[in-house]
Amino acid sequence: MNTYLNFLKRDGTLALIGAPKDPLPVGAFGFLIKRRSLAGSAIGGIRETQEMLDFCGDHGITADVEVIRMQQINEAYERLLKSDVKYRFVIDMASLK
Amino acid sequence: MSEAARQKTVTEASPTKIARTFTASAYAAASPTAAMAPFTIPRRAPGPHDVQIEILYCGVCHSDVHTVRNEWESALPTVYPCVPGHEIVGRVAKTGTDGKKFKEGDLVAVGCMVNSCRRCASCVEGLEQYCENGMVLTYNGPDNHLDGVTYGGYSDSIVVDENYVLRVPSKLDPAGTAPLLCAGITTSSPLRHWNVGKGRKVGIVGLGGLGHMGVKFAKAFGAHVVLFTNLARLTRPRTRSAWAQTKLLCQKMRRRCRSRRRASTSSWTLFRRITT
Repeated sequence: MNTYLNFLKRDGTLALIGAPKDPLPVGAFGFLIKRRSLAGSAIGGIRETQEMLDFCGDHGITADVEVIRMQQINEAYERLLKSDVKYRFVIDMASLK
Repeated sequence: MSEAARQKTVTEASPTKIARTFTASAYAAASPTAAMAPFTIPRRAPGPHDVQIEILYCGVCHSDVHTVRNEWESALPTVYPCVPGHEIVGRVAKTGTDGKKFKEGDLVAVGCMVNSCRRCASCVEGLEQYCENGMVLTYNGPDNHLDGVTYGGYSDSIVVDENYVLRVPSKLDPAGTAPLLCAGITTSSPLRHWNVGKGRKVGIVGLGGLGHMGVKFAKAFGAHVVLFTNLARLTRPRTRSAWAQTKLLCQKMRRRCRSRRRASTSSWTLFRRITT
């Protein structure tokens, strides 16, 4: 955490967008030096989410996914925890029928 | 605001309690230590402004694992059984009598929230995710139509107010679109908020579900992207191509990566520009 903070230039912002289960250790000097900020951000509003989807449609952006069956979910969780997925599992719900 | 007050406020915003339900197939966790297993859940029959969606794909987010295992107990304690899933893409199966936005067969999506108070400053500004009375999460949120908590997308169907349903552009692959609903918006929103674009440099930490979307958006917005990751994550040819011209900061993991110069922090090495 402090390592990443120290990469920021003056007035730079480190934005947290995930929520690890344990609190993060941060030292004060990373902020004092170069007037840096620590911030957070959660998803986006409905209008912004639609704009993001439309932007993806215009630019051909999708996630790189590995499609799994619903029955593989427990195995997928274990692989996710080992970062063994490039880069997102997606469940094909036809497998639930 | 207490959880009870939050629930009350949201309920007041949508006072219609719906008794009619139908049965949906799902996968649920019965406890923090239980495996995910088949489960049957009630879904409300669509109200006047609801959309009933046949779910085609649902992404798997790390939040699902945190919630299923009650790892966020202090902030968001999990109510069991828990049906996770908030990266939902599906087809409209039915619309409510007063529905205006969607019709049967439309390709639609649902993300992390399914309702909010619609009156507070954040909601009015289109920032429903910061609803001052608490947004309703797609799963493990207070269900203001049925008792208990909301059930997410690990299911064959879901019923959502049309104002919280998104339209999927027809050009996009539905499976690859599902993760945009959490991983995509979670990364694109802060990039936009902090004006990441041409002439700006941004660092992305980690190349997972969120990180890889962050790189794609930051590059599409025209920024200079620096990625902090373990180089083992970047072996697939398709990936190298996708991240062409992305500068990488990698932990010293593999000898085959040739470093050009030391980065400012000793435990990291700045690697050459990846080109294909």
